[in-house]
Amino acid sequence: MSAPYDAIVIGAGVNGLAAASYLAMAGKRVVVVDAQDKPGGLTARGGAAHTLYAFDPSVIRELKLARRGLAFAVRDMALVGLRAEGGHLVLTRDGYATARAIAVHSQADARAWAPFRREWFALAREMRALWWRAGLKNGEALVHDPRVEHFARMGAAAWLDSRFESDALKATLGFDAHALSPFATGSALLLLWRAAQEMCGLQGACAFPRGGLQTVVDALEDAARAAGAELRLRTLVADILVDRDARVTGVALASGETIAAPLVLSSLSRRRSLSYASLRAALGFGDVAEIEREKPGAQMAHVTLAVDVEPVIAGSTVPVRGRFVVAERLESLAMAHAAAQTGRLPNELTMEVTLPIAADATLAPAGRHLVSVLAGPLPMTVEGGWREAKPLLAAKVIAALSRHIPGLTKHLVGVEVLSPEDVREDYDADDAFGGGVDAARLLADWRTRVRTPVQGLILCGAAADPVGAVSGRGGRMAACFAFEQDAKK
Amino acid sequence: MRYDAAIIGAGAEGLAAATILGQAGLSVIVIERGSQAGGRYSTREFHPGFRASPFVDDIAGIPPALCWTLDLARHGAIVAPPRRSSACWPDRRHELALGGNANDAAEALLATAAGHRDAIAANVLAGAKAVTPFSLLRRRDHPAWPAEAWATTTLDDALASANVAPDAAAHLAALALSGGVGDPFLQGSAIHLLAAGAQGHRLAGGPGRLAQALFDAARAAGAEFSFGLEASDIQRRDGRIVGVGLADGTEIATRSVISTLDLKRTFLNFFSWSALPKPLVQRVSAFRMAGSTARVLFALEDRSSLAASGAVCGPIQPAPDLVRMKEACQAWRAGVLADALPVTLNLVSSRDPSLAPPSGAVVTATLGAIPFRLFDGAWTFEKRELLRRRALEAAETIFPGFAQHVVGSDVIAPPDIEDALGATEGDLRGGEIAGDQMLGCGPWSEPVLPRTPIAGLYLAGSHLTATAFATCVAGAVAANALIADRARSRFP
Repeated sequence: MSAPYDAIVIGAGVNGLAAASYLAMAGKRVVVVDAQDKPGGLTARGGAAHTLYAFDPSVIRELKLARRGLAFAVRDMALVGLRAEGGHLVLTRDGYATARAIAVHSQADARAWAPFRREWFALAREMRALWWRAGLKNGEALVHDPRVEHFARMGAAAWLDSRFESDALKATLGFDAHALSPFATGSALLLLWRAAQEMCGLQGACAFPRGGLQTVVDALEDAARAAGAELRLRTLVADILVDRDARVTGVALASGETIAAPLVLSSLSRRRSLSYASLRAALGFGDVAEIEREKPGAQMAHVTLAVDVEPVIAGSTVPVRGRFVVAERLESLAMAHAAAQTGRLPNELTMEVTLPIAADATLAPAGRHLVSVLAGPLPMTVEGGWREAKPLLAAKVIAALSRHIPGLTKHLVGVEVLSPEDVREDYDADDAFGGGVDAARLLADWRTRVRTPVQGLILCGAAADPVGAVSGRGGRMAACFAFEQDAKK
Repeated sequence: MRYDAAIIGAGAEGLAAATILGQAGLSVIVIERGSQAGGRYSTREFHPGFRASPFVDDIAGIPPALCWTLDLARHGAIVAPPRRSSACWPDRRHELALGGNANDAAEALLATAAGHRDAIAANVLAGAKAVTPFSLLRRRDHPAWPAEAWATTTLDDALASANVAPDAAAHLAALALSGGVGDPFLQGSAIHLLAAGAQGHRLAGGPGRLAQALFDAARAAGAEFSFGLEASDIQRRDGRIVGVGLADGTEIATRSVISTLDLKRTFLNFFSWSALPKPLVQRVSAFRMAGSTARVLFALEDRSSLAASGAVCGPIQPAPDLVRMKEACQAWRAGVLADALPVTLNLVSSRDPSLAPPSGAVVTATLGAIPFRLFDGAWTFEKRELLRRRALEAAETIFPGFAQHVVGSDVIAPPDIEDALGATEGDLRGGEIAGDQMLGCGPWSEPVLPRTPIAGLYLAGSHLTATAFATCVAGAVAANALIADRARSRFP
């Protein structure tokens, strides 16, 4: 019996579309199923990010996304630490200017900046062998490199403390490791992972696509359709079907229909993907116990504030097309993590703020301006439920921001909060980042991230990435793995 | 006269080093600022008629081979392994057998930890004897360190994946973190498991007996002692150590020095910073110390209130709870005393009746997560009183009516430990327990720590975090390294 499809991709998010494009380009008959009524998953909704910092350059090149409309409004957003006392810290690619900005906070740190950044970026470049390319041989050797071992056992706080003294610099840099507490081991690796990324040919850059993240989704959808993949929206998967040898045979839809295919790529997290009823029955006791132990990591909430005048940041001059980090000290981040683990909103909210209209004027609804805030770490389930906590969170964000943007409350015309729970309920996903991050996941071989105990089921979502991000890399890696399995047959 | 080696500090490590060097025929002088040997292993009268050890109740184990070398048994120190530990909740109780056969998952994990400790001590001892030149670069093909996997997982996960039952898990975590601080839900905190069951080795006559035995052994081996004067600096000429200066200006001529002070004290006290290589100063100052222990000693006039809980001779953890440990750790980082401090109670007089008058008893409380620097200022009398009250409350939950029988008590806060022992920030383990500081990744990425970038200077304090859970090992390692280097005639 020949199956009507060669592969089914669950989830039409960035990774799902990328995986479908690759498989379809290789001549496979692919169908992408998604419960939503438009493709894009979390990215379209702004659930996981509001800038692009980890998008795979090979995906852009191989799927010809630039030709399909992906262009960048800002190629390299400056990293700005917003300080309560007003002396904002602007970190750019210009080493000299950055050192001068740091010198306002600490002379010693200004001197230490250049060697630190050089070392940081150089090691991060080497780490690409492990994190970027599927199947590079020296990835294994890298894991046992003494420097990498040292980083794996070190927290970001320990690393930054050993180099710098000013809270401003340490907290601003440390925020990028927000998936883990800065005191947790492995968070230093997160900083390396962040610096290993490349946007627009610039290492460690953070870019803003013209037209927002929707452009990425549109370009990928175009690529998938052009390659011949079929998109079935408003289609909820109820179960993944397996035969007696625990091999995937297809999926059952909520409508009662079944689609047969020997290969299923899932954009969901490992835990969620393997918790479909038939898979559970097919898995061994040990596998189930291991999956159940997996815990969701730190969550982020996306708060969008609409204002009717252009927001202006008070204090020292900052570039408006930057990303603004609000975190006073590394301890603020650690406290927020501790609060998140016990299911509370942190007292002192840490967040990353961008002004999308300043970055790309075409995004503006008439007469409106937007302030986009990625606040976190936050708990997945909060005391009293997210329904009550959402206005509380919005109020906290507004209170924290009105220190930096005078008149914010007066000109506020709209607030939208996307909480971690919304992500879970709307997208049937465990979380936006494909599960918790730790040193083991960061240093694992890429195959262990995409592979599942079920033959024919491959993870292609954020879970396939070392750290969940809008990257398309998960989809690419999953497709690589599928091709590799094919070649073995 | 010129000594072959000067040892700074007459604690257990210093005495062990002196004994081994003396036995090897070297002329050794031990410089101690106090009036007697022993360091943290001392027993003193804190209330008329009641005695206790202010800093530790028990010692960490001594490897059998080292007991033999130091001839401890002949000098009257016989170390007995720990027996058991109990955790008491208001409605239930959990017992763990320390050492011996592993009956369940928790005890198996304890045995694993003990195995890792032994392996690390053996690794470090072997490394000291091997003649490897000091280098800033680590060899790439080094073997994996034991407990490497623990350095990146959370304590909670490590316990869960070993299938330890919830009560046993809380008990084990309390045992591992006893007197220290750690967030069981933080990645990397599983490394604390190394400490589980490390302490608790008992001596007839208390820890003070060990100090006496080591002192006798050192003297028998021919070591000389200088009491009452603090070492003030290590003098160098042409990059070579030439002597140790004392507080009164006299100089002791020597070519090599073993410092039993912690890493920070050694480098930042004995040398002027400008005389040291800059990267070294940087790395040493980045080394994290974590003072987190306070002790409260109680003298009880009537031991009948203790009888209720049966004959308990191991440590008692009152109501351990992982979430409370996490909160205590957060408070500690912020310089605040947590609402629920982790406490370990020890009925020291029930093992050693000589510590108390016939009907009395001595109970010690070891409190963890005590910040060295409080966010609201110094350690005043009121804050010490608060510690005493917290310890009393904890004891009251286990022994109802405890408070009525207390006739005297003493509080030892982290600054007291720093003053008395010279341990930076009152950190008795000599550094924060963390994978990057312990497992072959010390301040200078060198797996074997006794050798330093300064030729002739060896470290033997508890800064040797890899051996922080064993007694006398650090001293023996430093002494062996010195002997090995002399054999290569590094210092003619």
